[in-house]
Amino acid sequence: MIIETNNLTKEFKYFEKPEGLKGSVQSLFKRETKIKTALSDFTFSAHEGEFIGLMGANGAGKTTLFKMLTGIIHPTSGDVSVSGYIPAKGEVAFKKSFAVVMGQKSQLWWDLPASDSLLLNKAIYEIPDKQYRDNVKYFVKLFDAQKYLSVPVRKLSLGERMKFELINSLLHAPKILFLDEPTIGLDAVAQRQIREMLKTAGRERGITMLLTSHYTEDLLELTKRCIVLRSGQKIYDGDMNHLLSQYTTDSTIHIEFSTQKTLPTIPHINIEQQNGYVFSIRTPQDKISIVLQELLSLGDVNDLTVSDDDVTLLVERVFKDEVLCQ
Amino acid sequence: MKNIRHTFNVILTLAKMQVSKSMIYRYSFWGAFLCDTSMFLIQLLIFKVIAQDGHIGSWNVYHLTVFIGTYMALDGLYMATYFFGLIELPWKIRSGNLDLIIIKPVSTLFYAAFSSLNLGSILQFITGLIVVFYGAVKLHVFYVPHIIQFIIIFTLMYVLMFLLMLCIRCLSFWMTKINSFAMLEDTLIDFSFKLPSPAIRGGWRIVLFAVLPYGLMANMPSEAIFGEFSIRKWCLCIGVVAFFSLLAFVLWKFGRCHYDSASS
Amino acid sequence: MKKYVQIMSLEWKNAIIYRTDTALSALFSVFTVVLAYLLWSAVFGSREIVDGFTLPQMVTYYLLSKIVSPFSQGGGIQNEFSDEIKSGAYSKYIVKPISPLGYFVFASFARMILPVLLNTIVMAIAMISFPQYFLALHPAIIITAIPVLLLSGILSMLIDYLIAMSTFKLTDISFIYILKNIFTMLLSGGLIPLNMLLGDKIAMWSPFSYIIYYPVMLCMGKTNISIFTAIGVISVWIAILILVARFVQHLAPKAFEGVGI
Repeated sequence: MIIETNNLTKEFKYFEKPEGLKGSVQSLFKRETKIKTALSDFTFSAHEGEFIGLMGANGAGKTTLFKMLTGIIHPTSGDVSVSGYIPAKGEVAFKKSFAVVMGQKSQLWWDLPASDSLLLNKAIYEIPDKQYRDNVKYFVKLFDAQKYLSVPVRKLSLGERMKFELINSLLHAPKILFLDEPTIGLDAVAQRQIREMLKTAGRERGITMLLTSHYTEDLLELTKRCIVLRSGQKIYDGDMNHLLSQYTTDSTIHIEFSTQKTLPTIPHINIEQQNGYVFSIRTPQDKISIVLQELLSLGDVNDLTVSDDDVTLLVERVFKDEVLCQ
Repeated sequence: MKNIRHTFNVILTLAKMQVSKSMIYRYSFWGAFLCDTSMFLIQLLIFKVIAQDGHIGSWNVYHLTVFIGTYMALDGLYMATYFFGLIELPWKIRSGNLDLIIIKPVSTLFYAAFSSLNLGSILQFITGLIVVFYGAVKLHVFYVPHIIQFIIIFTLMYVLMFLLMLCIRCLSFWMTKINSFAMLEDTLIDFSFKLPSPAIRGGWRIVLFAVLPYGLMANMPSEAIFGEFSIRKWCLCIGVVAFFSLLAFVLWKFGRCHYDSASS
Repeated sequence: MKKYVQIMSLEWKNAIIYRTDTALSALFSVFTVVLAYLLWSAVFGSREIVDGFTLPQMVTYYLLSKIVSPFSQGGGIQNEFSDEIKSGAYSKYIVKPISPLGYFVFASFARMILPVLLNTIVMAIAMISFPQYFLALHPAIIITAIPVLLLSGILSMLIDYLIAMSTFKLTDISFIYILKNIFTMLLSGGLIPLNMLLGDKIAMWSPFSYIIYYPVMLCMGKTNISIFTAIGVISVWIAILILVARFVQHLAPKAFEGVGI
């Protein structure tokens, strides 16, 4: 196992302050300390080469987990081992075994060309000259970033900057790559490009990747295994598609008639929209054929589509307090 | 040894990048030089006013010249190296940007401290040394043993300044805002480098030479070059540096364990 | 006006949240006075008077300077404002019904008041506890200095505002702030009394003379210039700076690149 955690827990202290100026003055003399459990008894393991997605609403504990796996913060209790090291010890060899890309924090120097930041990383990770040149050539080609190497980072678009963040992180050939919302703020085209490049890099270099993202497309396309966190607790660890299929309960039928119709009473349906000609009907998936037969029997059908629930809606159901199937 | 070489290589790379960066903003580049020069000239002006009849206590104008030169040199050297990096440390701790340094296979402390080099201040450092040596020549104390003494004590005080700045900034691991301590530090530096040794008497000598050793930092290099450097003063300098090294080490270690990293 | 009062209220709350730091800032301000005493007792040596000051007057000068110095220091808002221009967040002043100048002045004012109040309390305690080291002050005279202090505070804010607005042209202006602070402290008498620096050549038409030197000398009863003259001079400078500020504010949207939004 390349990553192992056992009952990993992290608690944070914070202070509550009453509203208003009076409350502010009161808090000068007395204030209440509260404890927030960001992650609770988290146990999991990852094999080499796996690509794992972390899902959860804001505040679920995803980034807290990343920070403990990378040694940024120390656990309150529990054990964690990454590449055979204890992250909190911060050993140099451990730090050379992984890389982190944070979508909301840049590691590139703003005023200088990206190539200068790559050189700094070379010095930090003590990358031999040949390996450095080969990796720069490989990743710059993979990420299609050749023409931006000499451009100051502040002049690059968000998508181009993110490419260099990823190139920067992969130069020293890490065994593990932690990706914390790498596609945040990117347009659809840039997101797709980044996903393709990550898939290729992961496959060709055998890198274990852990990804957090609020874009379900990232998780669906890149990861097979998904861990779901809710309020600091792991509530699911398994196949992503299997998870979502548990929440796909209904389908939606859109039907358009050429003449005005009044629908007969059909069991198991919920009419969401209707205007006499166009109807939007929700029905359980196992009842679709019965409902379709009833609708088609009315005749004068101009158009008909059947669609499953939107993935985002499914994810919303996962995040809410509903029964989670394993 | 390997770690030291590695850290040095990283700092060298940072220095090169910092020089490149500083030349992008031309006004800032020359502006920084203008600031350093202005501060030095104002310091000279203040001393001209307060050194009534050309002396303060038993120190005459050349003693004060060495004193001012020491301030310039020390100020120039620490501003060129760790000053701005340490100034930014509380912000890095508060904002969570320290994360980006922690994950790198390099000493977090040295990377953070030396990540904002201001090499333009080297000129002030060199000018300060010239002023010190000029004053020493005029005082007829410009001998090799005194110079060696001066270099050693100057280096110790350069390290002491780093430790004092670090101790204060480590408080950011526990306190969200440490402006009060930074202001106290500014006041102590500002006055200590105007307070020649004869002005510090009685209990204040203990306060400013041991407890808050800014007076020690300001005066010991000058006293080293004057030649009046007893074993007691050596022990004091080494002892204070050793104590604050331990304190800074403990604060940093405990602070790192306590670091919560800001939410993104 | 209500929105600016709300801005001040928020700035106050922000300052009070960090209670330990706020309290310690006030406490540590005493160090300035102590160190000033050490320095000047060495300078005075065996003399009773140096350049028209006795030792207790000199120490009192530094005590009062420390109390009023927050008026000239801006509270950090000039750097935040400059960062907003660089990052594009300045757009909020363009799209919302709020004047950037109004925001700047009211927010700066709110940030100044708390340190001034706390410093006053701490220094008053020091003066009462150790009266032998200080000059006795008359409360009535101190009260007359308040309008001058408030106006000089506004003057200082306007200077900071104009420097912040120069970010539109210069991008990186940190060195300008440093230079401004260095020269303001010197020319306002914050480093050393102006009469010791300039003798009888003090330029009482200069706005800087009224930021620290004049109000402190007024409190100590050591100035011949009437308060009405002082208020008049500062008001003229404020009027000039407001005109310049409004002109710059009018031009700003055209120079604004809106990067980073």
